[in-house]
Amino acid sequence: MGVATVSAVVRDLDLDLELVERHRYGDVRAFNEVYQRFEEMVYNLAYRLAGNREEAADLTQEIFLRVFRHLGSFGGRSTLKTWIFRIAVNHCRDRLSRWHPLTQPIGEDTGEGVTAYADPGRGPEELAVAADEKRRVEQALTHLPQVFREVVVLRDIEGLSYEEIADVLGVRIGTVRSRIARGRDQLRALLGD
Amino acid sequence: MIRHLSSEQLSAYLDGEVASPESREIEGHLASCGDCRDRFKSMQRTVSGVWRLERAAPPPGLSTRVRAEVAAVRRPEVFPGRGLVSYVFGLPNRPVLRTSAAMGLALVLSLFLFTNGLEHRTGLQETLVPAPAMPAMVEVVTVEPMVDVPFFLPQTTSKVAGREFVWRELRSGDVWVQRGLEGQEPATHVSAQSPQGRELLARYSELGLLLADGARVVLRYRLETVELSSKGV
Repeated sequence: MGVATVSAVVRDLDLDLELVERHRYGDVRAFNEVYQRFEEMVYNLAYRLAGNREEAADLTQEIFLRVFRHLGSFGGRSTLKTWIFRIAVNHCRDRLSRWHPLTQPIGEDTGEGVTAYADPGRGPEELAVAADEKRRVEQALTHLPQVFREVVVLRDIEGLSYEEIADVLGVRIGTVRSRIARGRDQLRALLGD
Repeated sequence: MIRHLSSEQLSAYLDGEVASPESREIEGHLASCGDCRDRFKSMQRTVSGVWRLERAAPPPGLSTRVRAEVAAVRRPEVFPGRGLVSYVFGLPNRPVLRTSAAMGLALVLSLFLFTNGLEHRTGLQETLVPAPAMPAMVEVVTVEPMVDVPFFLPQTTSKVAGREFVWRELRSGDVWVQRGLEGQEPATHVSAQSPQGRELLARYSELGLLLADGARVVLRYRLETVELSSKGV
């Protein structure tokens, strides 16, 4: 981590702690600021994990209620961003597993259950720039097992570093590295690339 | 020399998450191995497809929904008189001043309540402690919440778990009473630590907010009026 990155993290953490302190003292605007900063990020994560907008909106609402309830106990051991992501991922896992009890997770090692969604009539370069490529990628993403979808979304859509993802998921960096690679491999297989 | 690069190496290299010695080794291998180069390009295409996905924008109105929900669970400000009482009884090490102030406050309140007829309203505390069985001919008076409360004594309410709770300060301690249950004696007393209490809190986790400052909660649950307390029962 470079000097500029470290100082940016320290600055973010200072801002986080100040917000939390204001929240503890009953400043209503502090939570509103937290909400404004992270609404899109949380909604987007929920949308990518749930796969539809209505569920994503419900999940976002529930996640922010949790954030509101526990914000006072935020201790600054991580950034507020990773702390909120952790709440969001755990809540989505909990809710989505209850809503979809029949969904069987696909084994991390085997890659079984991967079905191709490729369009054989077009070359990969053309596909990469085509408008429907996005829809194909989105569709393929929803077919990734949750454990891989989480890391791919956190890394490739939300732009978190491996260290941040490890913090969010409570796993080692080596596990993050392995899951991202396997997730990308499965995605590539789903896209028939 | 590496035989072939693993997906993990290619993926981490793509993300710039490998240390420089390994990075140089990977670059050297990619320069000389067509298979690995093809796999790397393929992975790049897949990842750039994901990068191109836009962030989904939250629907309009979501922020209003969330803020309304948060406002509903946020404990509202207690009535201003409470601060005055706390101030009077909190005066440090000045017994004379404290006693005089307390007596003065009591006198002013008594005069006000007397002139406004509130002395005829039975205190709600009587409804929450177990009352002795009454003879059949005695009319049971149900205490209704005050509808014409003076402007400076607004009812403190909180909407939690889809129900509205009214804040009461009783001799036996503070209590949140579910609207509509005023005047009812709890049939069951449940500790938050008991299995039933944990079940209740798991079902309506927002109730934990009401219990947070040591208050009890009286609510309707499974056709009974239940008093939930954070302390052991």
